[in-house]
Amino acid sequence: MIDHIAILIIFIFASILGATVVALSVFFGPKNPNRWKKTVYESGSEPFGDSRLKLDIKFYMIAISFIMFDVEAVFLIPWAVVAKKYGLYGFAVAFVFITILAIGLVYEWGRGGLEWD
Amino acid sequence: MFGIPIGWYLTLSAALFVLGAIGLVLRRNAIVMFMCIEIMLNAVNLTFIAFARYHNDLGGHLFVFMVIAVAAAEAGIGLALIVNVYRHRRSLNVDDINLMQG
Amino acid sequence: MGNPAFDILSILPFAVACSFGMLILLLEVFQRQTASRSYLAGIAVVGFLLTAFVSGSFLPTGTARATFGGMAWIDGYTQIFTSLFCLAGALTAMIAPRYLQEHGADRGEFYALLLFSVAGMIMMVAAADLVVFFVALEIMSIAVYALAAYTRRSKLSSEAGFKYFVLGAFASAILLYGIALVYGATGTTNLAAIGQAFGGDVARGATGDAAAMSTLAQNAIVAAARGADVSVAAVIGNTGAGAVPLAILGATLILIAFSFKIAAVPFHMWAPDAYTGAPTPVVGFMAAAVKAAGVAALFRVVSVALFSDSFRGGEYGWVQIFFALALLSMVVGNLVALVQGNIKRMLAYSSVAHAGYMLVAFTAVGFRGGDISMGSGLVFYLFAYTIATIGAFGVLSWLGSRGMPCDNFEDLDGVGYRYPWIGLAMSIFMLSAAGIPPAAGFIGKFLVFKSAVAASAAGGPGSGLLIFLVVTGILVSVAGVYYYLRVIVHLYMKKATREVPEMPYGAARWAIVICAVLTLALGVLPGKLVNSSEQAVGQMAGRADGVYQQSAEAPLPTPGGIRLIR
Repeated sequence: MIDHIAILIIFIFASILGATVVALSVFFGPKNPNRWKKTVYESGSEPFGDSRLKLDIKFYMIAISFIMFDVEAVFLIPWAVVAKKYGLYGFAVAFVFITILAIGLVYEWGRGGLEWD
Repeated sequence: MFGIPIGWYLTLSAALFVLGAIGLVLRRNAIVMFMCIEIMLNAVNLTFIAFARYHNDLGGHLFVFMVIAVAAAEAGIGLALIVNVYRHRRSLNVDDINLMQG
Repeated sequence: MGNPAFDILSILPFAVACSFGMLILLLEVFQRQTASRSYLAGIAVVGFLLTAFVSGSFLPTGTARATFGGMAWIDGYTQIFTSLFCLAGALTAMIAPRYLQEHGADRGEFYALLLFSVAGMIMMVAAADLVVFFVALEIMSIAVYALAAYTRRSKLSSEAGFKYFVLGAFASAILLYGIALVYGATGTTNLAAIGQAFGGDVARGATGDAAAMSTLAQNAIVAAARGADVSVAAVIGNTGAGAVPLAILGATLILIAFSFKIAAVPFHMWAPDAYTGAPTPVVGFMAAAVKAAGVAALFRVVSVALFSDSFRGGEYGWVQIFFALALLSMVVGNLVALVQGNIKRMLAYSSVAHAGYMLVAFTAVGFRGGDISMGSGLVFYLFAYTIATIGAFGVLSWLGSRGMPCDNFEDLDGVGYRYPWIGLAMSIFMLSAAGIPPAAGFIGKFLVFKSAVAASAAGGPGSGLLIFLVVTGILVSVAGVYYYLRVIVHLYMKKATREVPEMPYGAARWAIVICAVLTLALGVLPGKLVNSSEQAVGQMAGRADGVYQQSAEAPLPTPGGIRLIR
């Protein structure tokens, strides 16, 4: 357990710090409440409707393509770490890998997956 | 492993896996079901990492890389399929997805 | 490290299939939206043929080699299934174009996805390591999820794709957990190493003490939960009995996941929905090639990694699991298929029943008197089943792509007279599926049941049960004859209830003709394929029983240069 004592200290310190900052602003911050300031949205009208907006489908498109290309880094980083050891062969393999990704990107581009409108 | 026995990791991952499986069966929202599958995959990842540390073997770590990549691909196709179903049904409730008598 | 030159050569079939897929994607993108995509089907067929050619010509028959440092095996088993998958893919690519045009989904991605999934299948059968196996399975599955939902404008298709995806992903997660537990018990993901880890003293010790083992199996996770490390403590030296329950739990999970993939009862519930909704050419591909790939890969996993006595027999051995799965699949599949009015649902349940027949072969192989060579009947069965299934769905999609959607049996009324050749082909496929000579399905069933009888003849406890399984299988397949013949009755003996339009035949006809001819040829002259399947299984690299072993130091692949090392 003694190995984790540092984590515990950080945890406690972070909790104290967070609580302190909030407490300070609650106790010492200037407060001039009035009727409008006490509403949910101080500067606007009463909320109506569902707070969960329907997101445009485009966000899904972006998210899907992002996760695809993002995760491929998982394969490139281990290769990059030992790139020198594996020399030209390793480089060629990584090159093929990136080429395949690039073909995917070209396909997506050509299909209009990267257009916002 | 910093003194924490492997049993705890296995317990946590088994619990996560079972939670994911139960969620998949009980929840009716397509996106939530999909998230349950992701939980199951990540529970497996934890198992792999724990065993890999236990055996002091890199194979388990390698497997986790593969699982992460495959999970991303599955996320891509899964979200696309869910969006496709939503376009037809205007609903993500799987009880509404019942055109076939199954 | 392996030899880079050989490694690259050895995955050439995989690479060819993938390259053609990517080529088709690029061709698809860089042309006008309105242009017809049918020519891409031709390119895909060329790709499949080239893949099969590369696979067949690259290694002389009867040789085997591990590539990529033991991650995959290139041997006769890989080759014979590569040719099967390429055949299935090419036939599907021939059947699809008209159907896709008719359903407003004439896009080149279809053929690219076909090629990718076939590439996954090839790698899946070649896999010598669970990492490769898992990735290949997902390459195949993910492509097929997309194919199942391919006709996006159809509600049914999108639902089918979604259901198939959820169940498939669930099965993948179970498979992974099983792999993780096996990895925990053995410390390796290499199939042969897993087989070795449990082939020795552990197995005998564990089967000897069945009662203690069962307790341990139930408590493996619980014990681990207590932090006591009993489940894995013994693993390091591979000596205690504790490692076996963990591995058996893992192996069981792997088998359950496979049962999902090949739609064996009670894990078949996705199949009827997915098969009814998905585009018809895809259904043929799913029911035939995907199932064949699952069965073929399962056979390799089982006979390389899980063949030790403790896995086969024992308290929780897979023979019992396969026995139950085979029995349930045959009975439920056939009986439920009897009452279906929708022809695609009927074929879906019939494919469940076929999964049952295939599992009979597994049961025979895993039986105490059985051995791995008995799996050759399974290989033949997969060929017969795949060709007939693709042909049957090809006929349905041929009709469906001419404004004659075929949902119910009544929709087939009179087709046999209107289109004699199509009717004849469909009858051949149904006869093959029913297991009636002279079609290939008969030989397949005969070989599978023969292997079961041979295994039970060797004696041992429970050989009566094996006979019981065979008798049940024969009885329910006789019941199954009813619904297959019902199709033929509707083809020929009912008056047409609707106008059957005059229509051109198209490329799909050739695919159907090829399927019919092959089905008949394999039924009449099965000898060659029987020999090759015996050879393929006999020379499956890394077999746990040590009959055939590949050499790590085999010479480089110059033509005829690789020796068979026994």
